Amino acid sequence: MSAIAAQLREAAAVAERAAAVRQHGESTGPGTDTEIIGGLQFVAETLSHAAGLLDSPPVAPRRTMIVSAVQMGGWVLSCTVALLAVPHPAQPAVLAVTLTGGGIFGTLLGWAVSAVWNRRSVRAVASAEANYEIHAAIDDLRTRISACTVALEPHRNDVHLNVGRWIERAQTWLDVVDTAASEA
Amino acid sequence: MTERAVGPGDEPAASADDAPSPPVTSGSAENTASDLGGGGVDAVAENGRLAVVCDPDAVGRKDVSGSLALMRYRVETATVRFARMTGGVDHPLVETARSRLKAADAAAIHAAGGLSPWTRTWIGVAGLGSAAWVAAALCDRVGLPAGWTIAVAVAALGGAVWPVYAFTNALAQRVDRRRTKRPASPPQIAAPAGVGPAAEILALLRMARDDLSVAMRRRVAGHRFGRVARTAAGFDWLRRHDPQLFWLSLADRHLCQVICSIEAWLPTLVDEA
Repeated sequence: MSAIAAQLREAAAVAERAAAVRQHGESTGPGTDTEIIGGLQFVAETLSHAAGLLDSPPVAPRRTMIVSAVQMGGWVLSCTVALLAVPHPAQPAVLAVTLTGGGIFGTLLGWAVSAVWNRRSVRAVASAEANYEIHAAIDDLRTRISACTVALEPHRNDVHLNVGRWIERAQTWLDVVDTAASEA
Repeated sequence: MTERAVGPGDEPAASADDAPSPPVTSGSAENTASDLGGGGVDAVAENGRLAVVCDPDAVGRKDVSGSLALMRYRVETATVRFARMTGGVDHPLVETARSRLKAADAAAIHAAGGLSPWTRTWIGVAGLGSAAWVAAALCDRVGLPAGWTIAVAVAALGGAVWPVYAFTNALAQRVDRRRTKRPASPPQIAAPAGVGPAAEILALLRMARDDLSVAMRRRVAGHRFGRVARTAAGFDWLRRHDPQLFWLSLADRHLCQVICSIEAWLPTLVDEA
């Protein structure tokens, strides 16, 4: 079931991204896309809710976990080294300074890793294809949602029927978005 | 040392639980708005929307928080007028509009930026350092061996992480509310004669979106990676990596949902009539 939930969450992320892209389009071009943005946000929320019915909330993104691990590792390592190096590690002041200093060191290490990561991904984004077509995004969403519906077919318990109902709502909101995008 | 978690899982109470069934429209919202009191949404929009007696610079639109304060004021006004207009109405689309109004306001509060990473770090240092120091001092007084003293101090520090995190978040929330509180001289909002309540609310919400748009532009302009937001993909990247822009964008999308819901609900009034 977690595979279907992951698919639904990916589709929700696509819808949210499409809404953000339209927000950007509003700020750079004429007119407003209120119905498209609102509709896509409804699609994203509905699909996320459907995913939540199948699975527990998703774990943190890989990047967040890596940065947290670096922070924690830096903290533990620096504290261990400092406590082994100082002559009286059990003195309250020494302990407090070592533990908080290690925390700051770990935080700085995490920020450094984030900064490097950001620089690399900014470069990739800057060189990415700038064109974005709303109808292509809608088609992509339809394909993803249909795949989830097909995957749900063999399962026929209450939870899956409920998920199916939420997916239908998402599809209907997608129709609203499609109509609005065609009229725009 | 503690950071506020930001991400879709941390969104305010706009869960899909109350997501309505999609609208079945018959007739346009503009027509219905006219029916409710005349005017019409487009006419209001073309005529400067509402008679807002306000000089934007005079109410502090110098930074993101200034725009957010104005946006919250307009959303608050729209919420009050929407509550007056829909008193006793029990319709899924109306419920959705109500919940998304609250969600937009909550997202706008988060978007004020809270505490800087350094402030959070120093608060963490003070809180966690004190916990470790007190624990170590008590162990020292009791006469525990060094190994035990270190173990107890580390445990005390671990135990203090959650309270310090909660305190920092509560402080950030307070700071955010203070930054986005109603402007000292709030703009007077008065609908011209002939504008119906629905048109007035929709116009207020559109103006709130304009305020958010200003805030987003300012945030992007002030961001070290702001140049990537020239493209749609870059804007999306920035939105996912900058907490402030994330909340601004989310507040805007919630307002779009409110407008969508109201515009979809209005024609149903005509059908019922």
